[in-house]
Amino acid sequence: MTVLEKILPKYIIAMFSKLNLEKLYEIRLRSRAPLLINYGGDYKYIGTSGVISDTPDGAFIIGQEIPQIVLARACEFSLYAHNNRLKDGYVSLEGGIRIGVAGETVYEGNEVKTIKNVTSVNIRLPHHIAGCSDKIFRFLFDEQNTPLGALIISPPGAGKTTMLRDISRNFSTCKKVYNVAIADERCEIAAVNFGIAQLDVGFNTDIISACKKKYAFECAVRTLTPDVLITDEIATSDDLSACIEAAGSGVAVIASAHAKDVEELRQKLRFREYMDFAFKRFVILSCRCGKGTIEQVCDAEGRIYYEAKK
Amino acid sequence: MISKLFIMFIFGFSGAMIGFYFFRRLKDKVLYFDELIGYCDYLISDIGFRQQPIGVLTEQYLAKSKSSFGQTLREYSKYLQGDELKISKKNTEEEIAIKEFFQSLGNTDAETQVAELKNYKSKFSAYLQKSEKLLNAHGKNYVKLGFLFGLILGILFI
Repeated sequence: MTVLEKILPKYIIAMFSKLNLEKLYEIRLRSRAPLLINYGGDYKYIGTSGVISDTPDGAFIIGQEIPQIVLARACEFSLYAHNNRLKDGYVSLEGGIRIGVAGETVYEGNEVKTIKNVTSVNIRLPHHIAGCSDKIFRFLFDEQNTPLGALIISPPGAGKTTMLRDISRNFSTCKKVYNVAIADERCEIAAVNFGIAQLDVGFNTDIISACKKKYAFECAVRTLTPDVLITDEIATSDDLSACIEAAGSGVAVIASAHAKDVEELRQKLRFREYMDFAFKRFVILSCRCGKGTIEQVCDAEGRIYYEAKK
Repeated sequence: MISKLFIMFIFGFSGAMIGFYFFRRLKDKVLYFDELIGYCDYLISDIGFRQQPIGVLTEQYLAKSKSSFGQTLREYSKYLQGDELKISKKNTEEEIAIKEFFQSLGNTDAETQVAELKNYKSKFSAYLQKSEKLLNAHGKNYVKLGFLFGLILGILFI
């Protein structure tokens, strides 16, 4: 709550006093729009008295200047110190809190220089669930106890990043030493803030953050010699080729991707030819019984190692 | 006779003290702008490279401050916590420039911030020169005039 108290106006903090903060995942502040929160996985509006409802009637309306003020406070009134991330549309704070920013982009040449006139901010509160990967962890090794590449697949908001974080923690704290490297492009996995990882990713973990996956992978493979390389949300061909190259160097790449299941992922052309080479296990998550429900663990040939009871 | 001399001395001393007060005000103004320029330099070098948050830089510089500029930095620190920005009264033009300076901090990317800081630095350098000129021209006269004025008052009193 301390970080939220620093960045949000007092009257908004007062509205959250009746809520269980463990269930608060997102706070969406849009200029002149009702205050929306993700509470326990569902989007709810919140009124001045702190009462939550499914409809916007009676919800607290955010003032026009609030998103800009929240951003200024989040940047500690030092926009220049956060601009590298801000121009990518987000700001990372203590405790792994991440603020997505929408506003007017300022261009210089072909590059975004910064974002001004902020119209909305989305405050995402991370939830570290230690042990959420315990069920599947043993499937991430072959018979010789060598880590295998794996792809965590789920629709957005089903707990992929939380799962990756816990896999990192599990590898990093194993009895046998595994060196883990995290390519944390958007500072979501370890949430490094001014050199300190805000979330537990284990002690044998090297974190390369706020850079392109390709650069982080090359750096890690050449200089850090990891056993396991973890990254999130592979989507572009650059990301994929980075995974292939790392897998070709004998590193187990564990990544995540947006899809409902393996079939949907296979249908995405750009995934088809690379998937089976880099990833030996596919872990499918859903929100069926709450965020991070493990539906299935399978391999490229379709062998099922774990399946949730329906 | 001795008591009259004593009263004249008291008046003269009081006048000199008042003159000294004005002299100190001028001197403090010079020191104020000198430290303000130093603060600009400090921010330019850090924002150009390390990019620490403005609150951290202000706290670090505050520890070195020896003039009333320290009070302004304390007010600015409170402003960063959400209070209104209060700048001690200088003349209106200077006060507005200082207030604008503090309000402009941290609102832009590093490159623009450094350019803005350089602009403000040259503006404050002009104020410093003006204050130094005033101090050199009138500073010591304040004490002398104060003493003489005190003596005249003393004579009139007797």
